[in-house]
Amino acid sequence: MSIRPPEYDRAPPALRPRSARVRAIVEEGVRERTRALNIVLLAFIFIVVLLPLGFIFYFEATFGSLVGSAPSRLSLLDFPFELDFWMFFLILLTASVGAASVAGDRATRALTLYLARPITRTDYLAAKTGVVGIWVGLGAILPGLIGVVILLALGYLSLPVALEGAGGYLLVGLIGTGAFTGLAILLSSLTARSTVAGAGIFGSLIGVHAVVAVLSGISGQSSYLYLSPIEDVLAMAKGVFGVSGNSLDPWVAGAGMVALAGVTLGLAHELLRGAEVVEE
Amino acid sequence: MSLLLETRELSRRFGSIEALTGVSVRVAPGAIGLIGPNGAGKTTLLRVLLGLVPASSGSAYVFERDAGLEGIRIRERVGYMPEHDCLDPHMTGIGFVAYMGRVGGLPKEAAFQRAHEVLQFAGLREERYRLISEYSVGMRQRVKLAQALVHDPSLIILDEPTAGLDPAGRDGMLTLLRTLAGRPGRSMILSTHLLGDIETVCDQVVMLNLGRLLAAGRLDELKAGGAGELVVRTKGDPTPLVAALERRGIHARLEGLELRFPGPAGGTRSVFEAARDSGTQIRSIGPSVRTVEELFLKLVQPAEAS
Repeated sequence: MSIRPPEYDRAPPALRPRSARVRAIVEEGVRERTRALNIVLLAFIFIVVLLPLGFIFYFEATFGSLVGSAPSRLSLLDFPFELDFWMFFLILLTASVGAASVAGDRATRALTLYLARPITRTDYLAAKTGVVGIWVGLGAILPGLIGVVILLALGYLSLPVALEGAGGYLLVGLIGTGAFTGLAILLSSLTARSTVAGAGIFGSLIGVHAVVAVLSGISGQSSYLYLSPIEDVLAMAKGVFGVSGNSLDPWVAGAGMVALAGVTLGLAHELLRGAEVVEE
Repeated sequence: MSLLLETRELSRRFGSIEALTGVSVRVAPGAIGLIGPNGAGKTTLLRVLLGLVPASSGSAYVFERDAGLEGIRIRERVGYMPEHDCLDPHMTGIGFVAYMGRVGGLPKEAAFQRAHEVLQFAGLREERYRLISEYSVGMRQRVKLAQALVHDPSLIILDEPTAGLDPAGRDGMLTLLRTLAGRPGRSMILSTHLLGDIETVCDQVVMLNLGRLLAAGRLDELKAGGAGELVVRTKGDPTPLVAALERRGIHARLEGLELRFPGPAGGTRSVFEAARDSGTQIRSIGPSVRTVEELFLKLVQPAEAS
């Protein structure tokens, strides 16, 4: 048996790469929202649990029998986008989750600690975008996917239509999530007050929608509607699910949302460049 | 020996404001006090060293890495404790410190293990499981210190670590800092207005004023005046001794009741002779050792006057 002196110190473990550090912020951010039993969870539960059930009643009302034929009615999957309350709760979810994302760190001044860690401002912003994006994305995509699975299981949809519908929800959901998330991150970066940021997110989405609807109605020009992210989502959904009577080009609307996401996140990044780290 | 940090003609402007002007300094590893009044450029210097703002001109190196190019590599080895409150009140002490460890790059398990160790070191025991919103100012300061230490950095930067603490809390914090300063292979930069804290903890000092470097070096050398200055205290009026020293070519200056002058070439013999000739009784004679505060005031006043 060998005798060794006791070891009082040990080498610190090797540091993980930046991607792991960003993931740590995302994990904590998503978990933090679940701890907050507030309107976020209520909106999320409403969207993800109740909306798929709406599918069943809608298809049952349309076809009259619970299990039977397997119609290839892709256009019927546009159903949730026609529900105003779904969009309302999605905006509420975006405002609740996005409000505190950067504003909260500015309020507690934890931003200092983040930026003094071995991550870049881009990493920080990517992580915060991830947190908001995950919640908004789940609210935007999950109900449709769950609904499709239920409808497929009940025999309302054929497998090809179900797959096409799932792809449609993913496409519209992801692009819409990008636009909503970008806007939320930008507005949250403008202030240290979460409530102000939340009101700004909610107000800008609803407000712009209302203004362009009035402008479009007065002028008779539907092109004003491109300015509203809500109208863009609805137009894309109609295009993807083949619903007739779409006054907007779905691909222009989609491109507009991608541009909105890029511009808002770019502006948020610029705002963060001016953030103080070590303050007097 | 390798340098901890080095700046070469470092300048940083914010619009028309020159926060740092031509600062050139070389600092060896150890416990370094960063001193300067408000607006001296301490904050800007720390930001440049952390690689968070680029220099307008000149360069800065930490661990011999260019702060402008390798900020992330530098921050991997640096822990920072800000002056202001920066903790998430909704998290527990242990949860927050472990989380900061993970953001610093530690694996999850190691982050929790280290968080327990550093919180124990910082003096938070069962309290670490409570929400930060329930903590006192002293406990928050300890959590801030723990999060700076969690990834075992080679350099910790502390900004006013004793701010807001009561005397007992301040003593406790200074004890922790002295322990940290004594760790081999680890360095510390202590930025504070409390010059007594610098004297208690640091062995080197960097003094800034109005964005310019006033002095830098070992604290004991700076306090001694650097040139072997002597200080003499007399019984009664020291003025005759000043005249007697002057006759021997020693230019002494009177500061309060003390005489200060460069140590004469022949040692203290000529001083005693001057005292005998002037009929002055010497109470004490020895190398001039200032407090950091005296040194700071001596350096700052001419700079501000100019």
